[in-house]
Order: sequence, then C-alpha cells, then structure tokens
Amino acid sequence: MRRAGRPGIAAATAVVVAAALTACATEDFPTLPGPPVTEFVPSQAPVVRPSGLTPDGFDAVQRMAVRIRNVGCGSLSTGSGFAIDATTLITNKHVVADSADLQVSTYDGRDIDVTASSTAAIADLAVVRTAEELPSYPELAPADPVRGDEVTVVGYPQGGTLTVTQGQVIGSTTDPLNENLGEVLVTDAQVEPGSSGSAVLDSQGRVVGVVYAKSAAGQSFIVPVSTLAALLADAAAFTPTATCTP
Amino acid sequence: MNDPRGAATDESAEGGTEEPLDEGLAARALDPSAEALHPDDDAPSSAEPDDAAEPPPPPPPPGDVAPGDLASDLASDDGLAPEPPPPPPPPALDASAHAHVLVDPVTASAAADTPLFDATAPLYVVSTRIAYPPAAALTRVDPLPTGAGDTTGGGMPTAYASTVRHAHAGSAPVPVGRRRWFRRTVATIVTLLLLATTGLAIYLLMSAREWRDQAKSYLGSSQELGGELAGTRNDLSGAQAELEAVRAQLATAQERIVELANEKAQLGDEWEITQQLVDYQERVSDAAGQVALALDQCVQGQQEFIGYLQRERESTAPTYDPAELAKFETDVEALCQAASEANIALQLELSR
Repeated sequence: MRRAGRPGIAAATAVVVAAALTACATEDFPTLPGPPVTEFVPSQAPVVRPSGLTPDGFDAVQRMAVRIRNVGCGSLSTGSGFAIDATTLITNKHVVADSADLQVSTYDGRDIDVTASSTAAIADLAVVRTAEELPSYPELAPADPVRGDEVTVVGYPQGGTLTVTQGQVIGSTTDPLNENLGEVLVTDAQVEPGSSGSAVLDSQGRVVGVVYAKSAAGQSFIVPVSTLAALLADAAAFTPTATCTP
Repeated sequence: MNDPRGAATDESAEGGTEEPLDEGLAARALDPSAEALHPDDDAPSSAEPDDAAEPPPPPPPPGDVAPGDLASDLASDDGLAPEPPPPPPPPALDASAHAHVLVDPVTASAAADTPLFDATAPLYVVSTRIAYPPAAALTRVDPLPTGAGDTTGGGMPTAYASTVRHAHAGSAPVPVGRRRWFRRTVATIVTLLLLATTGLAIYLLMSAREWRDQAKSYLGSSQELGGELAGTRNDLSGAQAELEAVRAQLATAQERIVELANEKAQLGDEWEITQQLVDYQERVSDAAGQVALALDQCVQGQQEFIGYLQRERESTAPTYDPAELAKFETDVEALCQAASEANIALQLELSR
C-alpha cells in the first residue's frame, strides 16, 4: 500500500506545485510593488467654473438698468432704460420727450452724462447716447417671447428703487395707445409709472421687449424685441428728440 | 526490527526485495483467493496437501510476537534457513489487504533446481500491521532472489527476471528497471518542483515584505494627508462661515447702495424740482415787480392827471390843451388797466 502511494503522493504534489506555478503566470499572482508613489495630490489645474459674480456683487440684470430723469420746461418726470451696448440706452419715446435736460443714473447712483437722444416715429422707443460707459449690457433675444414664457422686468417704478419683478406673457394685441406699429405683447408683470423703458428679459437674461404702458387691470404692455431690432437696424428710424422751450 | 510496524518500514526503505517475499508468502499461506490469481505458481500448490495434512498450530497473540520470530521468518523467506520454525498463522488475519503473490517467470523445473525456500513450509507474517483494517489488496509475485544485482535483503544474485504486478485483475506486470526509472523521474520532478516551490516561497516572502514596507509608507503618507485634510476641512469650514458672513454683508451693502442710489435720485429730483420752483419764484417775483411798477406808474399818472385838472380849474384861462389832456387821461387809464390786469394775473398765479 505504501509503495502504491508514493507515486500517487508525488503525482499529487506535482499537480499541486504545477498548479501553484501555473497560478504564478496569472494576473492575480502577487508581484513586487513598484516604486512608491510620493505625490498624492492631483496635478491638474483647478477647474474654473463660471460663478456669475460681478465686480460689486450686483446681478447683470441690475447693472444694466438705468434711471432717466427728464427735466422739462417747468416739469420733471422719471423713467427707466437699459443699455444695449457700452454707450447706448434704450427707453421709451415719451420718457425723453419734451425735455430740457436728460439725466441718467446707474443702479449704484452714478450719474451718466447724456450726449444725445433720438426717438422712433413708429414705436414708443428712444435711443440715448451716453458719454461714459455703462456698467453692463445684455444681448437681444433672437425672437419674441410667446404666451406662457416667463419674463423679468427690471426698472425704477415710481422713480424709486431699482426693482425686479417677474411675470408671464399672456398674449399679444394691437397697441391701445396707437403709438406702436404692429402688435405688442401683454404680460402680467407688475409695472408702475416710472417703469416705462424697463427691459423685459427672458429666463436667459436676454432682452425680449421694452415696457411702455400699463392697463387699469394691472397688465403691462411691451414693445417686442423684434420691433426694437428692426428699428435699430434702420438708421433712419430714429430722429433727434425735440426739446422743450421755456 | 523490534517494532513490527517499524520493521515493515525498514524493509520498504531497503528496496523492497524482502517485503514482497514476506507478503507474498503470507498471501500464499493466508489468502487462497490470491493463490487463484496465479495458476503458474505450482510449488505452493504442491505443498497444499502437506498443509492440509498438518494444520498449523493456533497463532500466538499479536502482542506475543518476538522479534526473533520475525527474523527467523525472514531468514526462511530468503532461503537461508532451510528449516524455519513453523509458527502457527493467526486465524484472524485479513490476508487480502497485505498479501502479495510471488510469480516465478521461470519454469517450475528451474525453480526446483534452486530451492531457495521450502514452499511447503507454512509461512506467517507476524506483524501488527495485519491487525489494521484491510486496504487495497495487492498480490506480489516475485522470485527469490528479486533480480540480478539486487543484493538488498540478503538475496543472492540470480538470473531471474523479476516482475511485480498488482494483484488486481487485468494489471500488467511492471519491470523493475522501469519502476526505478519512474521513481527517479518522479523524484527528479518532485525535487525540481520543490526547488521551484522554494523559490516561489522566497519570492512571495520578499514580495510580502516589500508590500508591507510600502503599506507602512503609504499608511504614514495617508495619515499625513489625513491631517492635512482635516486642517483643510477646518479651514474650509471657517472660510465658508466667513463667506456666509461676507455674503450677508454684501447683501446689506447692496441694499444700502440701492437705497443710497435711490436717495441720491430722489434728492436729485427734489433739487430739480426746487430749482424749477426757484426759477418759478424768480419769474413770479419779476412779474410782481413789473406789476408793482405798472401800478406805481398808474398811480403817478393818475396823480399827474389830477394835478392837471386842479390847475385847469383854478385858472380862469385854459392852461392845457383839452385834446392833450384827454389823451393823457387815456394813457393813464390804459397804464392802470394794464397794471391792474398784471396784478390780477400775479394774484392768480400766487394763489395756485
């Protein structure tokens, strides 16, 4: 019995050892550790994510709004406006009409000198040129908003503090004041006298219209951005604003 | 040789020439079935009638087996002792587990010429191994001596060709040379494998040590990084708290900026309104002065006209041209009318 077991044991041993040696060739076989890693901190550059921060912490929506004071001949009125480039403002025609002096101030109270103003004949829109650069200006949306779109109105209602209100486009209609050619938009955003010329922004901060009137029901009327863009593209659409005579 | 089990081990180590003899004899004596597997084994079969005629005495108990008895058995197996003592075989043995059958490849006559042992004599295996439970039954058939050149176990070199085969039915006999070659090959392979295993073990030991050392290093690094991380987290918590405070301050500052801007705008509006009011007051004052001047001129004209009329009444002759006097009167009345209207307008303006 022992003689018969020797080859068996040897064969079994050989099989076991061969299996062990075969295991050495597998991926799981423990290998010697490589050179020790000494740098554990990733060397990649930190990812800079846009935070939307502004130099003074104000939103771009606030930074682009301006307050316009129309000093007339024995009269005084205020309105709102917004920048479309570094030295150009958009507001309503009735905001700058019959003025002896136009005074523009920014969200932080800085006064901006006005060099010229011009008004459109077929819409309640006006363009004001400034001597100094404006803090910020948005871009124009490529298309008009449709019913149901969320809009944001930023301006100076009642000539008071800078106010941002939210609303929704509820439709379009013809201009009840007959000051604008074509249709105008109607929103439920709350506006007040002094909000005329306020920018109407979409959810991406792009200009989709300009506030110019309100109804007794609290609805606000907006000149659509398509009209604004069409007038801006036409150099002859704006004429110099007539001043008052004392 | 004192321990029967140890004796069996020694015999295996010596080359296996004696053990097959003992086991074979034992098998032939104890296992009739093993005998039946070897019809060529005539000599034992010829001794069967003697065995039958003389039944062996009862075997001694296993604990009473003396080493000398086993030695005498071995001597009789080798043929060195022609008259071995016939110890009685133990009746309770299981010969099937240990029996080997010797197979003589030569003719029976040749075997008769070299009577190395008395096949008729009953042989017994006296070992405690036989008391163990039976294992695989092997029958070994081997002539005596085992083969040429094989002197282990005291056998004489003969020209016999030894063969060993298992008692299992159908197993072929294996030559001794081949078995040795097989053993050497197996030993060589096992040795090589053991060397390889030893090398592998050394390698694994070195690998484990290096992994252990590196793990210690990494543990130290991780602890250091953990400390830095804890500090960084604390700094981050402080920075976040400070950031929240700064954000609150910023919000407050923004609100204040908006309020100040509004206040400035309102002041600007008030200044403009005041300025316009001042301008208005200036215009009203100018108008009031002009009204007052007109009224004064009216009064003076009326007084002058009154003087003209008194001189004209006191003198007997006409002093002034009546036409000129009437014209002067008309002018004074117009002046007074204008002054009166201006005064009324001024009063209306002031009353607004």
